[in-house]
Amino acid sequence: MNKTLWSFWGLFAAVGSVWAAEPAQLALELDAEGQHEAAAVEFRRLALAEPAGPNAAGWWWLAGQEYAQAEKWERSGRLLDRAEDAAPGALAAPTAWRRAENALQEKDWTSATFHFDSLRLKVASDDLREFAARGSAAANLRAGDAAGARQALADAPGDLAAARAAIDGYASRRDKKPWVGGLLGLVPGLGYVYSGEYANAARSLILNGLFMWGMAETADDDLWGAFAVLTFAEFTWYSGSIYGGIDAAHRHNVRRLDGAVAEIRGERRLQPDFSAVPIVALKFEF
Amino acid sequence: MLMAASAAASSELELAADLFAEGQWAAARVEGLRVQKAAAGPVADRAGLLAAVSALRLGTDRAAALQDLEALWRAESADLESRCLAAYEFGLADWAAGGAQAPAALEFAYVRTRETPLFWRAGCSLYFYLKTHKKLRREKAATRQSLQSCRDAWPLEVWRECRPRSSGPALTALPGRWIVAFYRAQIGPAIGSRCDLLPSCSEYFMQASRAHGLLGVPIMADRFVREPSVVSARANPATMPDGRIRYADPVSDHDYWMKEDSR
Repeated sequence: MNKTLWSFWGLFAAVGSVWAAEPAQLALELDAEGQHEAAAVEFRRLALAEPAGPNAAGWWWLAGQEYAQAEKWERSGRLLDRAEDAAPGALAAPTAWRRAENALQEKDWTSATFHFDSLRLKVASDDLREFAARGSAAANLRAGDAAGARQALADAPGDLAAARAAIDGYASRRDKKPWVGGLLGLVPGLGYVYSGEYANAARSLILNGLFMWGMAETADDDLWGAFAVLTFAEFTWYSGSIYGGIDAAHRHNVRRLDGAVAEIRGERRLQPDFSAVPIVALKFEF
Repeated sequence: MLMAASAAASSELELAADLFAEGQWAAARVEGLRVQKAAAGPVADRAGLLAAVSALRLGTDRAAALQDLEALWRAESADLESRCLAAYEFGLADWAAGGAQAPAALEFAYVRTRETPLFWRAGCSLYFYLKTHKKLRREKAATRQSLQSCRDAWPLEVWRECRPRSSGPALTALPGRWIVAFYRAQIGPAIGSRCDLLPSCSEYFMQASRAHGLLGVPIMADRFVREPSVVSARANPATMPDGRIRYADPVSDHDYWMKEDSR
């Protein structure tokens, strides 16, 4: 279900947008094929062909969006800068939204919070303010600030009970300590058990047990060549158990945080609407 | 240096120069070729140069790119600065490939250019080249004297950029490379592709060894232990060109905590 929520018609001349959509055909087709970097280059070409102004800003923004789709966050940011330079203030909200999402992907939680908060101040629609508040809360929680996450949702519109419960649920439990996982990993498989990875623990225990048994047998039979090979292999499994104990704790913490963040953000996602390019419009997708 | 010169040369080249500056070699090459076909004179020369250098950086069709650069360097009717840049890029590539034309190309760029950044870089590169080639140093005594009189003017960044680097792998990554090379040559062909994860286990080990040396061994052991769980979770599937489904499990998901204290 798609629902166009707001458009930035801004200062655009309607006539300009009619002819502008046609040259974007190639870029739009490349986008539809998932060739986002190639689409970005086409949007950049269109931006360079325009004098500075809202149309150029729209093309730059779209190029930035394509680079974000291609997971080239830094390039996306540079082109958003150019969009802002081409028509200062014309695309304030979509730029804030794109920058916030880019910052989340780049794990720059402070910037993500800033841009989501800035988006919340720039829009009038309740749906968008709720979306921005959820984004800000997610960024705060990722930064380890549960109080900040609650604060971000405090005066936001919409039904945020599930998001608040997710924050409370996350804050009420503790992260696993990686050093404890590593220490327990000295006993093969126990590090995995600490983080709830029982199948991995069983495999680690069986492999370590088998190779240790092999080492003992070969030493008993004075087969020192075979003993050396098995010792090397056992060293691999044993060090893997220690490392795995540490990494399993990190994995557990990441899964827990990802689950809480998914609850906070909800199911609605913003996407650009390409039906009137270079006019930048965003719509919600569920 | 190249993109700044290109952008200054023409607004038609702005997009190609921007793409080049961003390291998007494939896109910069296509854009350079597009402008080269549409333009004439110095703009076409500069566009051809951008396309050839992008192809060189891209690593595909290296021989053709070198041929284009050499042709531009030797084309007397072409724009002089484009020729100097072509000579410089050709000289560096020829040096890296162990060719014999590097000193002539670098000297051409050093002597003929009027652009200060290129003058510095061509001179500094030639200085290092002569430093490692004793016989040539004696033959080009006058050039060497000239380089020595200029070298105080070269900024630190130019020294750093032009200094030859050893490109070999770190010593601690070597055992991992040997194990993977042995596996790929002797075992892999016999048992076929068995890994359901992406990257494959041998590639994962290679990447882990490259990044962490001997710590790649426990990282790999942990992956062997986890593999069945990752496959049964069916998270992050990717369809391979042969239609097979594999599940993404990059090294970066398991070593990020060694690099930073972020979640």
